[in-house]
Amino acid sequence: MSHDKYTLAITPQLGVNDQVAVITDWYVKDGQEVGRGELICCLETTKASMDVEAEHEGVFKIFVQSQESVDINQPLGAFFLDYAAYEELGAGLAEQYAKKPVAAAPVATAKAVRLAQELGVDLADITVSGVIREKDVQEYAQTHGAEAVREMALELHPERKNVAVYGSGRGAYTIKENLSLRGEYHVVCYLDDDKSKVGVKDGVPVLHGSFLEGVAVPRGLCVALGIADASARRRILVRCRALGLEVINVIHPEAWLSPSVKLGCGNHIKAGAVIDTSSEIGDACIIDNNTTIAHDNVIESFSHLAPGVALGSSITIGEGTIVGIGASVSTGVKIGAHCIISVGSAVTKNVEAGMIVEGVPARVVGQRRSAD
Amino acid sequence: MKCVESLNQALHHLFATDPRVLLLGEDLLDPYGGAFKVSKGLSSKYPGRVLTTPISEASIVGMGTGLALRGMRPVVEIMFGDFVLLAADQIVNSATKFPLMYNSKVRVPLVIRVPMGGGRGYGPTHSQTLESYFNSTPNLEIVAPSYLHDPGQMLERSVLSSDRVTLFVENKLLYSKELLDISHPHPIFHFRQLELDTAAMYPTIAATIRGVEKADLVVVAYGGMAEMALQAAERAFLEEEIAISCLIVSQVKPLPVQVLRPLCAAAGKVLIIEESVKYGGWGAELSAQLHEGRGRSASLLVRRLGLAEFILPSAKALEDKVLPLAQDVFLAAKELFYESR
Repeated sequence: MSHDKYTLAITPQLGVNDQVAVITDWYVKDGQEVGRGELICCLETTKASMDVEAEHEGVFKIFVQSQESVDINQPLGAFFLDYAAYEELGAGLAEQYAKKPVAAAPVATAKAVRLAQELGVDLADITVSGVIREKDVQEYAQTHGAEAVREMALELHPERKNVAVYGSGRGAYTIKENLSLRGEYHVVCYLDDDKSKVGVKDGVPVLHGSFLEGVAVPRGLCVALGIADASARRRILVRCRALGLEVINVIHPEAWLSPSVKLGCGNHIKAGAVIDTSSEIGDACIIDNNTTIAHDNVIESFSHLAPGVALGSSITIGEGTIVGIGASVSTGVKIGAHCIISVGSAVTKNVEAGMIVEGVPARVVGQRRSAD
Repeated sequence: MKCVESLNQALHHLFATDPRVLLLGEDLLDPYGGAFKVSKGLSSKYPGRVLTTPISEASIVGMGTGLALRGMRPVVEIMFGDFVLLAADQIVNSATKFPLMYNSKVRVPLVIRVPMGGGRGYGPTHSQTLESYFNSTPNLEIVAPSYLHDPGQMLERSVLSSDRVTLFVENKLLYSKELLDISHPHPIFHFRQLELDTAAMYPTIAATIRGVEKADLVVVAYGGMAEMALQAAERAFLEEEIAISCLIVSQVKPLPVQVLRPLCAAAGKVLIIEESVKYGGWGAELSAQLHEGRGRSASLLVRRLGLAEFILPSAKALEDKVLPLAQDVFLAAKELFYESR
């Protein structure tokens, strides 16, 4: 390694099996001027000892003292251009290449470190006997993490119902806007299971999903579901119910629902949707813009009717089924659970559970891989 | 303290306190002080009690046997353990047999020190771990300190407290290694010395992961392999949260199986590692004894890791491919962990 003002003297490899050598003697003094080819020190390994010749010339700085060991291919000293350079850089360089102290023992397993980073937990706050494990971080986050969140300053509205929106994407923003139009709700925060989303968005804090209990329970918040994925909506609905949290229906003021419509919870019904007499909507469905649901239809939980879907009457849409944009369904048809009705299809016959249908009239083109 | 210092101090202490102790072997005199410097300073301080011998292992052990029969406490050094085969007849047909052949009227308290093991690039005939050849020799004791044990104390015990022939195995990589003070808190491991059973004179040390109640598996090792076991256990825990308890044996024969069995049974999965050839080796014997002594209902999975049936190369890079290293122990342990019972 070369520099303007110095050249390092590297410990040579004496034998194929050696990784370390001991300097038994220095033949030069620190700060001495050394000529090329001059013997500078004697190195010893388990099998041999050898004198080392200077490969350069200059004012020599010793990094490794006599009787100390040095790793092969690491510098044992340096040749400086002149005394000025030796004075200026010598001590600093010697310190830089001095044997590094052994790193402090790790206090946590790799899994624990990863989880702590995800949850934003400081490992220094966790005390256990021995090494911190993944389960220690989980336990800490569940107790102390939630405690910290309980103390967190969140802006609550004195009169309106305060809401935590689960999700922080575009769907969640639509919910926030929809809620603001009614003057009845106030969105306090977003919750997201993706740690990278934590921060501030649309003017509200985004908290990690693990803080649901800590945030919502003590403040009496209700929850709105702003997530596109049906299985995630189901999971979070179950969690909210277990915590005794109210999961609200978000209904745009410009949607029209017949007074006889039966509605579960956690649904999002968007602008322009029409739901007519005696139709039933389960839980956590998304009824998109301009969806027309005529009378006596049953939309089971976790379904998603995309914009412009038109349903005749007395139709059943099974749990978790997705009906694509502009698709239409004939009166009396029963569509099973977890189906996908492709964009623009016209469904005229019953569809069995788990099918993917497409076309006018719609035919089965495939099967969904999993129930979710 | 380094292992070599511990052994050297023990010899000095033995020479100072018991005039029956003698040392025989090749090139033991100062200033050389033996190939691995274990006898350094001894011949200067105790002239006449350190006998440097011709290159004749059978004679060395034979003389030692005679001295032991006549009431001395001789220690003999085989320069490289590989050469102990030249004295095999003296060990198998004389030293270990005399007490029973003479109706227990004589004793042979002889200690044969054998530096064993590879990793120093000494090639096919100076790097082996051959004590397992002697596993089937009746009335022979085989002991091996590790860096968790007190080698000096073990040597003193085998010289003074044993009435049998002892093959005292010293791993060559161990000599220059700093011994670990197991009474000192360690960031990863909790150390404890297991109770000795009636047949065991030399301790087994358990290194368990701190804060973990139940081990996922047990690794049993001795001598130079102790370090491989602990390195693998540390890595398995820090990377995978696999909790390995290491049982580091120092009494290689007879096996302290009563001491080992409860911990092996509790974990249900046991990896035995050895530097000697796996085929017909120490691990095979230990595995058999663990299985023979277990109840009908208990499930026990035992795997072994040892040297392949191959000669040891000289070049370090090639030697590393043949010897069981920490990496190999880690992979074998991980495989065993994921193996279903």
